[in-house]
Amino acid sequence: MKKRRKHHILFLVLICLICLFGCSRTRIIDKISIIHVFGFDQAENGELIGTALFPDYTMSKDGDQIQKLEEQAPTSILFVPKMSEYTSTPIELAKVRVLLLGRNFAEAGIQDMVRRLILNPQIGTHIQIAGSTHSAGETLTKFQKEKSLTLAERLQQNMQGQYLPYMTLHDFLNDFYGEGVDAYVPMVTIDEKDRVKIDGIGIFKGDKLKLHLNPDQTTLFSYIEDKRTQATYKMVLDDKNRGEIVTVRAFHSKSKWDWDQKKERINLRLQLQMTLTQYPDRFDLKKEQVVMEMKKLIEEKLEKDLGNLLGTLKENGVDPLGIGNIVRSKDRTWEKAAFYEQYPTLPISVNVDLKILHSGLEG
Amino acid sequence: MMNSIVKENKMVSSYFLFFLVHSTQTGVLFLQIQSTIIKGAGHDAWIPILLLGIMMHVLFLMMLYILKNSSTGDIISFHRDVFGKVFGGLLNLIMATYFSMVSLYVLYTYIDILQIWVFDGIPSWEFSLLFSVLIYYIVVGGFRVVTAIAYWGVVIPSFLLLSFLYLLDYVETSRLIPLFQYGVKDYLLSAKEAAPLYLGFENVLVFFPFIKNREKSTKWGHIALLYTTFIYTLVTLFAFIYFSQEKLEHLAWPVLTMIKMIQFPVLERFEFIFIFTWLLVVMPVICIYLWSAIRSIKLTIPKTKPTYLLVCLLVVFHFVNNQLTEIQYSHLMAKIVDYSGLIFLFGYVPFLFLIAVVRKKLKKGSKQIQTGEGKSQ
Repeated sequence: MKKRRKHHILFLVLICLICLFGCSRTRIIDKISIIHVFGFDQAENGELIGTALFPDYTMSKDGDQIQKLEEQAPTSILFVPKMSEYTSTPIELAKVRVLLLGRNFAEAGIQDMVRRLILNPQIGTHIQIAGSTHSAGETLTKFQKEKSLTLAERLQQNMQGQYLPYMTLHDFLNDFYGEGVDAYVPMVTIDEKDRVKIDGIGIFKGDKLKLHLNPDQTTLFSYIEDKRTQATYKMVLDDKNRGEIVTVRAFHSKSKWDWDQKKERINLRLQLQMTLTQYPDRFDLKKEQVVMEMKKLIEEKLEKDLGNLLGTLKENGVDPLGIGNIVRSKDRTWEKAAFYEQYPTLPISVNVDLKILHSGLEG
Repeated sequence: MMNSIVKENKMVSSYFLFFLVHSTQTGVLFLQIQSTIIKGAGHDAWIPILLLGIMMHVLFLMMLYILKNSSTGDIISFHRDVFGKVFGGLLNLIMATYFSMVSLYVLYTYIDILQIWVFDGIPSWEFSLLFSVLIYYIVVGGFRVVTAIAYWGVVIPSFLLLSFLYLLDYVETSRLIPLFQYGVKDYLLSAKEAAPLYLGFENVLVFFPFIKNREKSTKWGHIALLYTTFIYTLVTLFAFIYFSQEKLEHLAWPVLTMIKMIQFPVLERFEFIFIFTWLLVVMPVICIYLWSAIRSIKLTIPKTKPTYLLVCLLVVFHFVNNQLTEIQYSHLMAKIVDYSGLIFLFGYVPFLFLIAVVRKKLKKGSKQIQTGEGKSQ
């Protein structure tokens, strides 16, 4: 009986302890500044400029109050203490949704910042990282004027339904550190009407932004890289006639790489399942022969454009598709330096195998 | 030969050996090991893990042989049988020190994880005090309560394995090939790093008398070892296909970073749930080691009250967790625990096994001589 009582007291103490410890530190949503978007820029003296957007819940609820803070610091870890000087509530990094890299900063090298990122347990890995064709500060100022904090959603929906290849910070870091692959980020830009929009992808070489692919190139890139892409691709058969346009929308894609060790060449076989969304009236897709003709036409066009894309990548010496890694996994004698020396002249043949699933309400 | 001084009502059923063995093996090291073993055999480093796991069965058989040849079925009596009361007692105390140190180390590292990942800025003593009360509550209840914690420590965290399904979307299997690309030396380097993973089942040496039907129960021990090996290999493989190798090298807690990816509309960070559930994984390790340490001391020095002993040890634990929080101490502690564990498992256990074999031979010989003499008379 006595022993029992002892245990009860112990239990009470335990419950009290947990409650007391638990209640003393709370982080209630309207008492913290939750940063949603964080931008990085290069200052002229070599320091970093950080720009953060966060909603202010302490103001009145109507009219989304979006706060912007800009600070300069020698290293990214110092942004939070410096920014805190301006806020009445503690700054919380745990819900950063987008990291935006300004053009100058990305071109100067992001090694140091990435190293900090990977070490920070507060920042999630299921978030977006993006580049900006202007400075991050400028882009975020424009974005603040749009009165929304949905840059992450803007990127994500373009990855799921449109031409951007699907990626997160996790994929970016894998590529960034990975051997035989270069990292890439989706790019955003400011259009003539001062709105922020998605604009292709930017490809890094090492830790520096090297190449910017336009939307058309990115679409082709997605076909190879992202097997669930739903990107739409437009092909002009005749420049003079507006009716001579074929558009296809990807449904599923599968890329297979073969490495021919003897001849040192790579063969890319791309299996695409697509919907034909528009085609000139002169094609009658009820006839099997016409369908075959159509298929061949698209395949050839895609092969040619993909070849050009790969050529551009090789010319710039960037390898966002991870061709180095593919060869590494198939060739025991692979060595990084030697491979990338001959990479610009590496012969890659592209072979597209198209399946047309349907073509809208016709056919 | 297996006489026991343990009363029937304090024993546990034989299948609990599975939970006891498996739960003491899975601790905090499991969360970090993937990035250290990769330095040896790169993407092939999962092979040493698998092979080590198979090797553990041999060690387990050795342990069983030692236990079979001791007077009360545990290592404490074996020490006394072989080395005499004083020296054997000393060995028992050294062993108890080792056990309590591992227990402390696991608690210490778990508090570290909590501070790094979840509650930055909460001092160690709060966690330490809280867990001390919990540990006291469990260990003072005796072996059956400890077993119950081991049981739940295996069953509840099992659902965490499901979380890996979520991550299947992000794997890249080409990172694993080509196989067998490295030299023997690299594999050995990885094996050395991976060996401390399997520490934990040396506790069998102490608690084995508490298992019912001992001869039949050994199969549960083997199943537990297999299961551990399976999970370790699986998760390591998963980490290798999930991260690129060079990135993995930069991560101190690969499993937690992996789990970080999981996101639900109502839950931004799944790794918090993972870390808190991990308490159930580390609790059995802490408690079983501590219980073993106390039992070793209790049986060596009669007239010690185990409850006081427990309180003393917990006070020491609390002191260490509270005072030695600097970063170099955690590295030092990890080193000491790893090395002493490896020496114990790969040096001392085979050594005792040899002694047991020789002793049995000698005994048999002397018995035969005795019986021979008897016949001749």
